[in-house]
Amino acid sequence: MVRRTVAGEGNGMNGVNQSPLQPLPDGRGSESAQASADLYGAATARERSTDLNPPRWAEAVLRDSLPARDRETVTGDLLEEYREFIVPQRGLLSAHLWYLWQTASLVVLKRRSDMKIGAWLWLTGGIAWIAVIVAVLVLSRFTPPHLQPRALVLPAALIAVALTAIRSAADMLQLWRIARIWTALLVLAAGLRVFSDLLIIFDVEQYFLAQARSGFSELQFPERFAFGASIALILMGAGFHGAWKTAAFRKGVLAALAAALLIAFPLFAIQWTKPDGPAQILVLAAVIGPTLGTAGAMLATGLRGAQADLRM
Amino acid sequence: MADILGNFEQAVLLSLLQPSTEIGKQGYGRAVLKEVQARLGRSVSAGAVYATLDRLEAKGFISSRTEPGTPVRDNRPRRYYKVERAGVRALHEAKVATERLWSGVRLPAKGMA
Repeated sequence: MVRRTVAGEGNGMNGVNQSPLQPLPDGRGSESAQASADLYGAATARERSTDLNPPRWAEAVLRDSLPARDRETVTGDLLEEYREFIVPQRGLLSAHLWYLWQTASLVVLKRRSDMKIGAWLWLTGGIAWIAVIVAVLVLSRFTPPHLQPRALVLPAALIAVALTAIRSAADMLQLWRIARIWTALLVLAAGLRVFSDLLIIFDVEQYFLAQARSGFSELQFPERFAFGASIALILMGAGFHGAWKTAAFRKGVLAALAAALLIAFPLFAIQWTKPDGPAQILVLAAVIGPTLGTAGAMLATGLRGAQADLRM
Repeated sequence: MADILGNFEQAVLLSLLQPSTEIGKQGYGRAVLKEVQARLGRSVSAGAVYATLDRLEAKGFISSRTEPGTPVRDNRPRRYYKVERAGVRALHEAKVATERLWSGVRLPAKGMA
């Protein structure tokens, strides 16, 4: 561990300067030697101390997360403390850890205080929404959703509210541009699923038998679970992208809905001959799309708001 | 009645009003951090102190000004804080509220509760 002694600018808590100038054994010249030593020590230590720097990336993260007003003053304070007190007292490695800790505290605590309540509510709402979805999935042992009429109320309300964001053909075009990216990702996920089904022989009989047993969880069949999880993440991503790009929460919800419907239509066409298949696929897309997209859209709205607050 | 100051807000205001350490007397961000640490007798994160300073400034209890920095901080400016009249009043109210809360209370001897 590197330990350096740095003469500070007055915190009075630094270590003793290591100076090559010493008083004579009989004490003569001790005052002037001490004065010279102090000057020498202070000068060299100050030169040395300005060579000491906290991790560059941590400082970049800190600068980025602080509002312009505090960027120079706060990073300057931390740098001063780091060079004058922390490195001499604790050594370089521990000083780096100290700096990271302070950065984390500033990013979390100060950022929170700089954010207005609106951004904070959106972020909290988004996290709570995801927590509810995860809780529902855990309680249902990650089984694919069985759509009951009451489960349609919330997505229907979300779609109705989100549709009010469409005012012109330009809005439609904007949504199409966003949704097609996420539809492509959904197609890719579905393709990978088909590909993995070809490589890994999935025992459907075993799966249905396991479903009938108590204690069944979709997690016991990772290839199925991974596909479901990737679909969920993609739809959340669509909601996030839509809300971020358009600066409108409702358009984020619509982007996720559009992506889900765009992937559902080909399946709808394939399953057209089956009695219940087509309608179920469309309803499922209309439920899952906006439900998951809402989580992403809330997070994007919150982060956008936070960014605007912090830019002040 | 205005908000009663929290303990940490009181510590920050008192650190600015009557600093007990040499560095604390300088009154800039880092000095406040060190003074609060000395006053509370424990390590305090920079985030907590700066967030509190921001909040107190937004409430009008303190004001700040920047001045040029020194080479040890790569010449980055320092922000100096000063307690305003409203801050002193808020501290006084907090003290009165605490005294009122404790008036007439006699705790049992240590270990007897």
